[in-house]
Amino acid sequence: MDYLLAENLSCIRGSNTVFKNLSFKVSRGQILHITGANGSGKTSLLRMIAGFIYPSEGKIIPEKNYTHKDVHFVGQKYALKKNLSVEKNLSLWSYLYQKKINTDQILSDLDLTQYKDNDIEVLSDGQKRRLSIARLFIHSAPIWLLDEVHVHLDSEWQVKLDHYIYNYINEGGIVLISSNTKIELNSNIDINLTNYNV
Amino acid sequence: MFKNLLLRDLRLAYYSSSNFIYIGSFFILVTILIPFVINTETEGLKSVFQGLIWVGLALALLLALDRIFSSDFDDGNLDIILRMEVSYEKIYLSKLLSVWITYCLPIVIIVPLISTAFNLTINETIFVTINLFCGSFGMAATAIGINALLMGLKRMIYLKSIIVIPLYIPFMIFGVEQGSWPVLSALSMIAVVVASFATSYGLRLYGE
Repeated sequence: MDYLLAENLSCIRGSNTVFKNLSFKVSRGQILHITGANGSGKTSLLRMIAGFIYPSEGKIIPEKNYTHKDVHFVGQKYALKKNLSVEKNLSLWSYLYQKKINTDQILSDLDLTQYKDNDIEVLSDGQKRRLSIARLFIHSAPIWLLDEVHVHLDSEWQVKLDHYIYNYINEGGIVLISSNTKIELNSNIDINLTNYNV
Repeated sequence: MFKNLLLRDLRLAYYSSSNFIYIGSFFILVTILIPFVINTETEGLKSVFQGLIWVGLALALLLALDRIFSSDFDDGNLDIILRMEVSYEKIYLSKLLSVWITYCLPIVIIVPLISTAFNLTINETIFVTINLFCGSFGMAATAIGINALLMGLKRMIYLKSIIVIPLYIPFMIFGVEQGSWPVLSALSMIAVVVASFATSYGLRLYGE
């Protein structure tokens, strides 16, 4: 996949038009940074590109039903079972991603080795976020859709995440990232969805 | 992929409290509890038991109502599942098998073991077990279909129960009659087909 093109996208939720006439093109090796006020449609846009929501108007090219081979959607939910241990959660992911996961390696990379047998509910939000980001490394996809992934991370891990994103971009990936707060990431394209709100 | 999804659901059930031991214990307790409060003779106990196993199965499935799809919906795992290269129908089928294995199979296995305590003959036990086997697929499918349609409703297990219980009545009416397995099989087939459409529709609506 060399690029992702959105043409005149509109999103209508219920009787509300969230955004209208949004167009952009992101090519391989580029980062699209989506900003906007609360309720401006950042998450809706990412979910639309992920294929969860159909555009009310306009189209996304390439037109297809995305699978997790094409997009990696990391949303605001951690996709973790809170009453299960870190290790058990990783083993459940291994079924969904059809990959054998090297649990020790991943936990060591995330600085979470000592929490291997702890239930998710005893982890802090920052630690849960780190664990949810691990999904990005379990398998590769040409597009990363990241929804507010910097939230709850401390400054050290925000920098590390940015580093992972730059590495991915340098390998030819496409990243669409939404954020309500200022992030240090140097993006190629910026979209403020507030400008497209009706 | 279907196999992975099924194994993942079974592993999740094994990790959480919905495993064989818990469901089996729950069912045994329900069946031995009622005779304590209903003063009945040995013969009466037999007919009470034949009805009780269906109530026990319905209660076990009602306990599952807040787990099927809803927990994956709440924690975000459904996002991953729906992006897998697997059709909605296969997701439904894997759920049906995992729910049946987790919640119905323990009961189908336990019923013949405890039926002698309720004075059932071997023949009666075979009939009861076959009925249970045939009807349980339809009851599991009904629970899955309703849950897929209502998965966005948080902590609404009472509403889901109010919708599901009336749909279980036909299974219970025919379930207590000996030799009604063809009717129960037909009911199950209808429920499995209708629930597959309901589940696909519910999953399609998920993003919206």
